[in-house]
Amino acid sequence: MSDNYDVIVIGAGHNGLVCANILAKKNRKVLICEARENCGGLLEESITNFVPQIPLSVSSSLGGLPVKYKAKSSIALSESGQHIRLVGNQHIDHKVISGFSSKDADRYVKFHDKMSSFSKALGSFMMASPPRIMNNTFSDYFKLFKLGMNVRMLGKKKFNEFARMIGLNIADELEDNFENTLLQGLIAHDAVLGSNLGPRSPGSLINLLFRMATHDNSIFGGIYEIDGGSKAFVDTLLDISNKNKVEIKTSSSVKRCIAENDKAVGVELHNGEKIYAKKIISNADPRSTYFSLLGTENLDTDVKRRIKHHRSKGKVAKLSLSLNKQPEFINCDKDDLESRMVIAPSIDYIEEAFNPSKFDKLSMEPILEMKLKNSDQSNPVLDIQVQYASYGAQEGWDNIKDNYVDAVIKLIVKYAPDIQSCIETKAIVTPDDIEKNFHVTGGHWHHGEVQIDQLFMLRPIPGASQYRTHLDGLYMCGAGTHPGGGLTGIPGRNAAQAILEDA
Amino acid sequence: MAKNTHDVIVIGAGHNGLTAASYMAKAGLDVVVLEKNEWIGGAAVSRELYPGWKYSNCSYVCSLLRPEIMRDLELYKYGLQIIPYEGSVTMMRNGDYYAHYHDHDMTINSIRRHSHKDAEAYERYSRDVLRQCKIIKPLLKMTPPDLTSFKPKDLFGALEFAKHFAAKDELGGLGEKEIYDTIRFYTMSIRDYLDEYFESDITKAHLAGSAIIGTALGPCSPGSAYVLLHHYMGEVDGSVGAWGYSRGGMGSITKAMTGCLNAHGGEVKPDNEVVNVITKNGRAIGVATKKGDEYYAKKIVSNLDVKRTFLKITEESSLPGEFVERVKNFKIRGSSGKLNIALDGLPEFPCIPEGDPGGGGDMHFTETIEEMEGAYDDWKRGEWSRNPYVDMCIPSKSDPTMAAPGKHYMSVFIQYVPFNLANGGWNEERKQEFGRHIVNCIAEFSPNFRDLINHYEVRTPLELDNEVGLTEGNIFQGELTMDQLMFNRPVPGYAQYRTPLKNMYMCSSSTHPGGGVMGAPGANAAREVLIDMNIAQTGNYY
Repeated sequence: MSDNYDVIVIGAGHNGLVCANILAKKNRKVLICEARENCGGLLEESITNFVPQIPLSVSSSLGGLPVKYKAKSSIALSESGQHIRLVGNQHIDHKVISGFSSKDADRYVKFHDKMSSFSKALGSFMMASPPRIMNNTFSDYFKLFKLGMNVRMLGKKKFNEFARMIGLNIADELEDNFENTLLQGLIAHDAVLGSNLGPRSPGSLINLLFRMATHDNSIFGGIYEIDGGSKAFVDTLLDISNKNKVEIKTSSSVKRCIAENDKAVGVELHNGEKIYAKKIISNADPRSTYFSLLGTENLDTDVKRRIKHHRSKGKVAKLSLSLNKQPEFINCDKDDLESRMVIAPSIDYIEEAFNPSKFDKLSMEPILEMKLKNSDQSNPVLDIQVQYASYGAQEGWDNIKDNYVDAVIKLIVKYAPDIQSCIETKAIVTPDDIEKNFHVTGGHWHHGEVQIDQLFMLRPIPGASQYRTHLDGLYMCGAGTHPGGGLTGIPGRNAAQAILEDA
Repeated sequence: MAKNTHDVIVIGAGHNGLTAASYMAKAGLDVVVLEKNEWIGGAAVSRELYPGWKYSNCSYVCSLLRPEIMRDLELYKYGLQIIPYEGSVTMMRNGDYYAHYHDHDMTINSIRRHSHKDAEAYERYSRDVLRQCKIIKPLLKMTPPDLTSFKPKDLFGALEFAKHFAAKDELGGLGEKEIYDTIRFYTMSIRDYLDEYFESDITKAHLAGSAIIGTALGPCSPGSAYVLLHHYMGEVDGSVGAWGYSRGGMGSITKAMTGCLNAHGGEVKPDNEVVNVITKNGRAIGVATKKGDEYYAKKIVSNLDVKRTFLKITEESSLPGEFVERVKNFKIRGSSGKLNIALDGLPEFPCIPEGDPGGGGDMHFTETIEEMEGAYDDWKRGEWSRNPYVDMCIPSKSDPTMAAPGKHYMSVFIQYVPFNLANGGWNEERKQEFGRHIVNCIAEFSPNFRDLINHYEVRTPLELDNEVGLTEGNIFQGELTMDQLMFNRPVPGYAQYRTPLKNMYMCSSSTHPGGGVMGAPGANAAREVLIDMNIAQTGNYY
């Protein structure tokens, strides 16, 4: 048996590409096997509109990443037309909010500062693989100590506040600070986006902090759009892969990981082809990695149980409305339409949208994040992220899809009365579709819930939190690992480091 | 105007106030407890509100009361008797029932009727939860360390705290895996937690009840698994997780505590509402009562919840602004109501086979977690649950002192009931409507129940607030969520029973380890007072 490759990466999502390229730059011979025809995973069909910037440490380990971003502001739409527009600049935002409540404006600056300092403290350990406790390695203890010190360095008052905030729900914190319900709704929306939590669920606050840590430590500042769309981003990554001589095999779905003597040695494709390598890295979600690639026969019951109960039910659907002209949103100009428009008018509204989703039912009044694409052309597209569109909806997606789309449009009519007459075609991608089309279990953006019991050293499951799986030689680099999803590339980069450490 | 001087004044004669007072009196201090009501006991009382029947009209069952406290205060000597009960049962709409018993094997057999898989999983479940009980128990009687302090006391305290999670114990120590499990247990929702063990709705619903009682959380809220632990960590006669009735009602507990206090020279003064804490140069020196009396003491210990203590009876100007802000933001939400019912006979519950010991304890009729969460969703909207989670029991079945022979007293605890009722708030009419609604819910499962009712008392969070003094009627004097537990309880930086005012302390359930008729906050607070006074202590709480 000869090793043809040093490393095989399963899946060409952005984390897989990042990981592969970092390894290739370290002179590893890397092959990527991608099941689909195209690379880019969830990026490819631009499941998300707005992204954070790839952190410097990731782009620099790729030798630079020539992607241009456009900063975007966020608008909380109000039926009355009294929208709140936030750009992420404290002075401007303070002024905007003063127009609604001067008390809120002052509080907002304070709240923003507090949250930023916490997200910075969190951010410092997102770049490293999480330590394991009682592993008895010095570096792990040092990491824990450093983390503790990072938080402790915030000062006594802030440390206390941080300890309190970990388990807090966002609604309580917002209600303690602000009186404007629209502002509350906007921030709460960001705290629950992509998750299985409502604003009153404990833990929703840390969700927001995690999000901020990848978004310039700013609540609404770090929202960007990639110049040229996500396709441009994927193309850039593919260019780099080309330069680094990373081989990519598309339409090559991996059936299983080949193990010999309790060690991963290669992969078998669905067409029967077997390819061997020293290390295998899975960009697939944890459940697929364990149950499909690794196979249950190699696992002890405890690990099996943990993976089985790994929570990864997606909650976000994407609805695209092709329009024949630019719609009129009440009190919005052209710039506004290209910004991030959010329909989440209050905490109570979000909570009501969330309630049925707990048991996989659909709310006909969901929360929306929208953006108009190609606004200067004759065929603009309104891209809508619909939150709390449950994976495996009890009503059955096939039965209810049309009604659901109609309900969403009806909701938009309140803000854009002429939208109905603009619509040419409508297409919705539900979490079930994402699962089917992109091979992501549950169709979850983050390959698994971002909640405390699935975070940090518990992500994706205890014992597999350092990018290593329970099979020697098989690694994970997807969003299911620390620090989770969002277009950051950090899991890919951290995984590459773990592999280099082991080599 | 009378002037009185004592060593210690305790404000509020609830079980924690009496526990703290008794410990301090035992240590030789001159202690006086001032109580606003004419009766003693706070929320642990037995009251004859209808002739011939005794109601445990607030708290109704006993398990959490720390055995160390019972021993230290010799409560058995002063008349306390706990009668353990045999089981609990959930009635089903299809006429079936689901029961748990004191006896483990009987429980397994009972679960097997509904699901073989669940019966097997129950072994693993009870082992894992019991393990968590063992881990948390030593923490209950510890003062939470101040994690921001570099004082040796706090550093050692933090180590000691961590040790209970990390170090070896008699069961062989927590491994890496178990530490992860503990973290998960403290942060998960009870629904996710139970999903990892069980398949059938009824098993999950029955077990999840303990995770929502008294809280403003639903079974899907992360953090609710901990609340389950909070209800499990008690014991009766050394049997962990067991619950029982206090003979003569819950008032017997506070009566026995008062007995201990009196025996050591302390005194409770009912009908003496404290309206103001008297301060001088940042120190608390005494209190003023509604009657116009002033009491002075070296130490003041407040058994009122943290909001009442600092927002009602203390001058805001004497406290740091940030502290006041935190206290204002302390989450203390009323979510429960209660019906106390005088019955002319024993109601029939056809679901439960005659003589089944499951019927002797708590009875429920919520069959799925989804129903339970739906009840919570109603509460979030400011309504009482249309289909509530009910925890009912008939103490007179095993305690003949509660009602005349043949007559019965039934206690019905209802989750969820809002303090701030939407559309205009509570009034007498809506209160009665709520009562009738609950009676109807129960009558669905008991054909003769309605006819047996002689009298019933309806208690909404409003009554608990006004009468007992629990802010918003929250039975734990503060939500049991991660942001308000251990070193965060009640306010980060003030988790050691001391307050920003010198010589003033807190001993209520607003402090670590929180609510339930446990007594631990009282005992812990007394220890801290005595440490500050340099008084030598004996007993289990030193």
